[in-house]
Amino acid sequence: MASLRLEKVNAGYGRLQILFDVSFEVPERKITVIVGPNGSGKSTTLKAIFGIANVYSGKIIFDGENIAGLPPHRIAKRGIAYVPQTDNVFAKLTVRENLKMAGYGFPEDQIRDRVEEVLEMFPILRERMNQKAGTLSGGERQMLAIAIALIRRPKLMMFDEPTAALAPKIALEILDIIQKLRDEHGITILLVEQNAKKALEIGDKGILLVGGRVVFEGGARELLEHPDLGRMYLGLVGEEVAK
Amino acid sequence: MVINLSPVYIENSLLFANTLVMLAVGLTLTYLTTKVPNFAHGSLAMVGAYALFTIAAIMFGNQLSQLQLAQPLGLGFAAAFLAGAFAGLLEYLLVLRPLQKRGSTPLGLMIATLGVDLILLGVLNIFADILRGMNPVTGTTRDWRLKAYVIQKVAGLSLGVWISFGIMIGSLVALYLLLTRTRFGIAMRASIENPALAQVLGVNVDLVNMVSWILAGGFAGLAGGMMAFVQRINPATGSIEVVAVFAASIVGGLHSLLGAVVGGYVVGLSETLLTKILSDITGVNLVTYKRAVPLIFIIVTLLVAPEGIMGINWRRLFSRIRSRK
Ligand SMILES: Nc1ncnc2c1ncn2[C@@H]1O[C@H](COP(=O)(O)OP(=O)(O)OP(=O)(O)O)[C@@H](O)[C@H]1O
Ligand SMILES: [Mg+2]
Repeated sequence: MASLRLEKVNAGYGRLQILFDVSFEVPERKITVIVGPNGSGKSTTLKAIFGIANVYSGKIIFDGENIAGLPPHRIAKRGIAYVPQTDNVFAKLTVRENLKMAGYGFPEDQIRDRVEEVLEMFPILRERMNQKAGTLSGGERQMLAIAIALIRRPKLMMFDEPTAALAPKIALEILDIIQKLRDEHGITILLVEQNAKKALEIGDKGILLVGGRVVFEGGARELLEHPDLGRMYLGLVGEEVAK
Repeated sequence: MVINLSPVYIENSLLFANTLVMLAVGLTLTYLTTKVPNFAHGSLAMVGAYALFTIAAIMFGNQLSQLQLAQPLGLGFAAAFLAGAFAGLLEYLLVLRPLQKRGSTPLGLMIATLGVDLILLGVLNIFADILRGMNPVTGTTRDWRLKAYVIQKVAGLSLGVWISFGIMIGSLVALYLLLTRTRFGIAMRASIENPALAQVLGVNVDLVNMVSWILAGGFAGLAGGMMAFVQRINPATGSIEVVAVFAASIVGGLHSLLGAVVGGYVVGLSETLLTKILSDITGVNLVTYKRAVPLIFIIVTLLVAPEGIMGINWRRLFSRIRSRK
């Protein structure tokens, strides 16, 4: 069953259209990966879903209801979380304050329980509770960003290049966590990744976006092993794919 | 070379500084939330001042009894807050938000606030003329002040000083409690620090912006009413005082509400007390040039400490001075 479905979405910023008739489905409890060259509209797709970019026409169906045109704070309340690529923590606040802020709108005792829950997932954050988020390492920061999103117990989580600028080992750790979110928490994942190969390897479904249009929608493996698309758009070299 | 500071002069200096504090806090607040330096902020104060004047004019009638001040002043300041808040909200909703949605640059928005200032000046002038025909209490609706009504002493200080401190401290405490103790206040701080992320966490950033304009306009309205305790009010008074308000906010660093409070006092007391003291010491009448004080503060702050007083690392500065000895 589809958790999220885009139908002929045209979107952009002001009068500048970036997405053209974008349609795809995000199946429930699966990882869907959006890949594509720089500037192809991957981030814009996430922003359109979250009501940050302007949606001119088309439908965005989440849980059976059209959410296109709703403001972001309403979309957040429906159970979609979005971890932006940059500025995804409150840098000047401590880790503790960040987690508390994340529970904005929930009752105090519920926030405490949920903070405890995410700290169990990210024990490293427990040691950093009184540290300003701006002073965390790249990996810790990304974990905090995920923790912040998790506190709201979303049904669907969208990540924008969560491994960008991370050391390869840490990047793998983050992708591992994302897999865990699917397998152990049953969360639907929509993942935008620069590192197409790694992402498609953990993904169930792959979408290739080029010039604001969907060029491919299908199985992640299928996209990864596609004879032309990989080489043309994703910088995957033949042997690398074969491995 | 005798320093000659009368209690009245000191009281007036404090009254002036209090209005600057109220105005600078609002200016900084809207700058923090919407990132717009609002050049119409002084005129928002005049909207409040004329609201107070209208209530006072109607209620005082022709025979002023100083014994019955509480009611007209209480109602007048409530009206000043509401009128200022309403004008501030309109400025945001009708001018700034639509421009922001269309992707205006900060410079474009800033110039738009100058436009708003001109519109408010026009409206205030028209209003002053209408009011004059309606209720000629003092014979004029320009160059009016309320000093005479609040001059009587209460526990050693004039009534005006008590009212002014009461309003200022009350407003600041209310703002502090809102920002630190309420869920909405926490949301406000979150969206000041990172509006995009706050939105993602379910904060209605647009509502935060609207509330900040309501509060800033309301505080400005109260400040406008308080101004009438020290100086003569004209429709254009706010456009002139806005320079001192900017100086106060800039001295405070533009990013800190506490800085705006400190900046309001530093600039306000420098413009009044410091110029008087220096005049008495040097024998040169520097008070005449007091209007230059805010400008000097703006220039010096931007050159020496662009982050304002709150951005200076005082401890390091002191230890450096000490080690030099
Ligand atoms: N806020 C904005 N206002 C105007 N144009 C924007 C804005 N954000 C992005 N764009 C433009 O939209 C186009 C698509 O950008 P987008 O960020 O969606 O690409 P992307 O696929 O995420 O690229 P990357 O891999 O570099 O992150 C780009 O041409 C970009 O310049
Ligand atoms: Mg991007």
